Amino acid sequence: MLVSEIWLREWISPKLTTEELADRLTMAGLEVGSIDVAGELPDRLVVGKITEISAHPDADRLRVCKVDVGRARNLTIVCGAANARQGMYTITALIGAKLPSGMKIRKAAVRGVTSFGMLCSASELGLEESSRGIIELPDKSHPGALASTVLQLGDNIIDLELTPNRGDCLSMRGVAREVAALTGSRLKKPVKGVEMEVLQHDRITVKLTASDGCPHYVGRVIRGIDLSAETPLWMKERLRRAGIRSLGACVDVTNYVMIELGQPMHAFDLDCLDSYIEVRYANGNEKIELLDGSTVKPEINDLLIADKNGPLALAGIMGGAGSAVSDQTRDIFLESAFFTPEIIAVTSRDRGIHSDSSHRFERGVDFELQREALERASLLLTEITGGQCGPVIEETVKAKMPRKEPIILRRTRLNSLLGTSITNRQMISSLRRLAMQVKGNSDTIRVTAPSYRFDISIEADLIEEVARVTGYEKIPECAPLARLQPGAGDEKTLPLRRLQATMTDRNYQEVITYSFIDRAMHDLFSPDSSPVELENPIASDMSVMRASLWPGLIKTMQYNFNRQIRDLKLFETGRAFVQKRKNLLQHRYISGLLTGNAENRSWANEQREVDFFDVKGDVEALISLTGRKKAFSFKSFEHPVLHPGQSAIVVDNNEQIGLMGRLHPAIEASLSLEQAVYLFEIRIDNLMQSQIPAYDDFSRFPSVQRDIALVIASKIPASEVIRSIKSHAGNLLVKLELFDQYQGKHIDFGKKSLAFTLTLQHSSRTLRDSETENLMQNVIRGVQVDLDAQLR
Amino acid sequence: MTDSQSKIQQELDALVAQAKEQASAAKDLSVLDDVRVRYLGKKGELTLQLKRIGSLPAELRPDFGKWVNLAKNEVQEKITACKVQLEQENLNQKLAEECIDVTLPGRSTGHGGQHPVSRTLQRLEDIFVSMGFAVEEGPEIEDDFHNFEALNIPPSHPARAMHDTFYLKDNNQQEKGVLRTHTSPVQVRFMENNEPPFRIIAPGRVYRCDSDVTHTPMFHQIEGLFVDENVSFAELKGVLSEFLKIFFDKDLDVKFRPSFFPFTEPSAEVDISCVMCSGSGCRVCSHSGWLEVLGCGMVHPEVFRHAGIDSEKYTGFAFGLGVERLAMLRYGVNDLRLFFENDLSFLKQF
Repeated sequence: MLVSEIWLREWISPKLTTEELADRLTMAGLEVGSIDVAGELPDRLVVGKITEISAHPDADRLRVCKVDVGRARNLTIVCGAANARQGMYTITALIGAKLPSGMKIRKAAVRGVTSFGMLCSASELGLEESSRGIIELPDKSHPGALASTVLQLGDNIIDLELTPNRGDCLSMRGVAREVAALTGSRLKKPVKGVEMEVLQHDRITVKLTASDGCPHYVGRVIRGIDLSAETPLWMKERLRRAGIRSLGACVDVTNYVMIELGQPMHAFDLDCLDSYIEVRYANGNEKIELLDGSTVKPEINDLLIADKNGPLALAGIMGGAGSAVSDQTRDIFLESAFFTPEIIAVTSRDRGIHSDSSHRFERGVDFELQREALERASLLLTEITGGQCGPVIEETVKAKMPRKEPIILRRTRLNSLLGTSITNRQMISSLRRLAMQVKGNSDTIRVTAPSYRFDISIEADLIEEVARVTGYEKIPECAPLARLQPGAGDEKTLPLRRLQATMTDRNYQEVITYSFIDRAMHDLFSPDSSPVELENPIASDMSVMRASLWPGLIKTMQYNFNRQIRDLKLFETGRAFVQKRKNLLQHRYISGLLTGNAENRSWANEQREVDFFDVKGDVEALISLTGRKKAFSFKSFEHPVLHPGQSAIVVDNNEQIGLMGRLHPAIEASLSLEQAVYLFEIRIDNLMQSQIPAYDDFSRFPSVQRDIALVIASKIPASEVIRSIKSHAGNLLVKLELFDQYQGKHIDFGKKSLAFTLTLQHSSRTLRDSETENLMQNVIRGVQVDLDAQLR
Repeated sequence: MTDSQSKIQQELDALVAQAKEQASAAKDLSVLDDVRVRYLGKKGELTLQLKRIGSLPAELRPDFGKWVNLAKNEVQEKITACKVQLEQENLNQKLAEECIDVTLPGRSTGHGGQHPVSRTLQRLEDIFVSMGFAVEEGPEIEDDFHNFEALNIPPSHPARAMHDTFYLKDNNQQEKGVLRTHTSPVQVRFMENNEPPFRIIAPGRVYRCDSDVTHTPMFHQIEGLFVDENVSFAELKGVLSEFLKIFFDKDLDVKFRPSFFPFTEPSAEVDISCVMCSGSGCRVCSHSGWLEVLGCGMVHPEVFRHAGIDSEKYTGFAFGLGVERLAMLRYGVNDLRLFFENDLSFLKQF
């Protein structure tokens, strides 16, 4: 809501500077976004009166005017405006004046006649986009007076960023009421209530068929208006400052009353109405062309203004083109109605049409204002265009009108909710300043809000009003009193930050990528999952929810590749979204990407590209945090985006919880990657399940170590060999290390050698040599039987 | 002293002098050991002197033994001294050889880093946890009920327009999902399943269909909820003022002014004196001296009703704050979009 300070001060003028006023409004919840100056004009623009006018001797379209610019000066000015006439007051630019466009006024000969200035149009003064002639000022103007004073240009435009609950402040009167409540200043009455004289008796029947959408409708016929009449400058100027363009007298007047009093109105061309006006819901088979040129098909819950022929307007939102007032219109039907906020809000949103009118109706328009607004608009319009008013037609369905129900307010509740000690008198006076009716003066009172306050319906609303008028700054600050509750002490749940810290400690950089990704990337990385698509994505490459965190990591990698960073270790934690039949899964994952050199380039180490076992080591580091390493295993696995020979699933007690491996070379190629990329992704919920340590007695007797190297078929996974050794070694084996893997010279083709160190220890005594030897023989025989392994 | 006495003595002295000279000349420990063996070994020259004792006059015998022992001691002392010196020299040389350039960079596997939003989230959590709040999570794809309806935002409410909601395409679902527009649904879900009193915060990602210099379609919020008997607005002010002073590590001015949220009543917006200019006016605060940092209010009775909590018995406050905004102010980041570009040159600074 753009508020002209000069206009506001006609309604109420507290002894506050603009800044002080703005601060009071902001601190009362009507946030002032900005204060702009309405524009100032230079000194050499003054009021001039055309005292004589004659044709130019040498040009058909020019005329020579004598202009009284005060102080007994009569200037000769050549003017081309069609509307210039003798006795007219207008704005004169004197020699030396500089117009907002940068044009400088000089003495100049115009086709042989010397002109000592220029008569100005509103557009030349920067007040309008285009003008049809020079500005016409009221006849009571004083020649020589400064234009900026006459046009009230020293104005401030206060931009109020209103919250949706304060529809009542979407008018000058509404803001003035609020200022009155906040400052205690008295509201002036610049607009007198009027009742127009009825000069003709034409009526039109109004039927409120959809009375829950429109329980109150006021209108009248006005005949014989002249819409060639220009809207007066002051009205145009006030509309301009409210951010509304002038569109002809009829529309300007309805807009003006909307800004002044808060009632959106509409004028129909009477000739276009057939038989009656009906407020009803759409039947679902209709179409209507609106004022903005668009055509809509109203649905059955959309409220219409219709006549016998069909829809005329989307009620409270926008008029129809077919019944719109035009320059030729002589007779109109003027509408001032109350529409139910919820109905207008839903239609406005569903049809995607937002207007100044719907903006107000959906927030709530004073349901007692319609008649007053109609009379006011009738007065303003007939003053400009002439015409005879018909009788006021007023239809009301009382049962469907909003009710002003008293609300009970308890002072004890108020003070306990706010933490204050507000007295009974303070409470009641705060409410009365807001024009609330208060009954009773004990600690429990009955309060009725005025008809324009749609945001007051429960006790808490009243408490906020008292707090607001009192000032939030007066409410004390104190530390809360509360019973102690034990905080998080769940040892079985590993904090997420522990996982994150492990990654950062292992040289990974954390990233945060968007949860919505490109459809093509989704399909590439999650070919088996049907995408969770957005209905209204912000961009086509952000149109589906990620089913994996990998696409975001890949995108981040490419972004940094383009900035010459080629050694990357990235990780992210967050949700991925997978549609599993009826269920939408939103599990949390920790995902990583590695590529480039394994370690920083340094004098101290050799350069080596990352490989599968770097990823696996990092994944194992995460797993070891859980304290239940034994529950996890890795299995070779083929996945469409991973290298078939270098990928694995991570299993937690038979449940597949993760995936890791090298990006498939075909995908690396399709993404134009020149280096191998390794990825992992694991369910966070599993990694967060941690085991509480349980003490186990340990041996204090000496251990012995034995190394063996076994030659086996190269396709046998190491995990099989380990399992076999463990099963044959029994519980004397306390540690098993695989310290070498070899293929090549001295080993047959198709075979590989694995070398292990076994650490053996007895729980209660020193091992005898013979026991050790027997055990080793057992192991060697066992792996031979199980896996055809030979001692190397 | 007899001549023979002095002659023997001279011979011993000469041997001692010779041994000491050789010991001094030894350049390493093995040569020095040779010297020791040559003079003091079992067959060493000084040791062999004792064998002469039988051929000496009887009166000389008692003293001769003493003299030889004295001579042996003198040589032994010299050799020990030389040995200590040689060992010291050896050590010095070894140390000199082992000298390295200590200015070479250390062996490092490098170190990664936290995302600044993550860092800020953790700090926020730590502060609120220290005040007795527990951390709760909730889904990011929400239903209309939890994101709007239960928070007192019915379909016709104009506040829906404040939210720029992302909707999911409906895949024959019973209900069209939305990407949560705030973390407030977590308070609804929590209240549905828990009895007061409670104090929780809910951090996480939220989504709004808006993208320009000051908006990204995804960002992070922390929602707070404090419900007990007799919780007041004064306590809301106390908790949030204290929090802001701790977070910014500064004795800030904190201002509460009325605002509107459908799920709180009364509602407030909180401003702090600008952390960049301390309130004197700068670009960051648009020369106002104040920064808007969070929204809050007393839980609306309608929200309690939806969650099945008796609003006569319990009252509470809720607040929501934007994590990116706080991170920008805390670390001086001047462009919101940097957080999601993930340029390593940016991320490495945190």
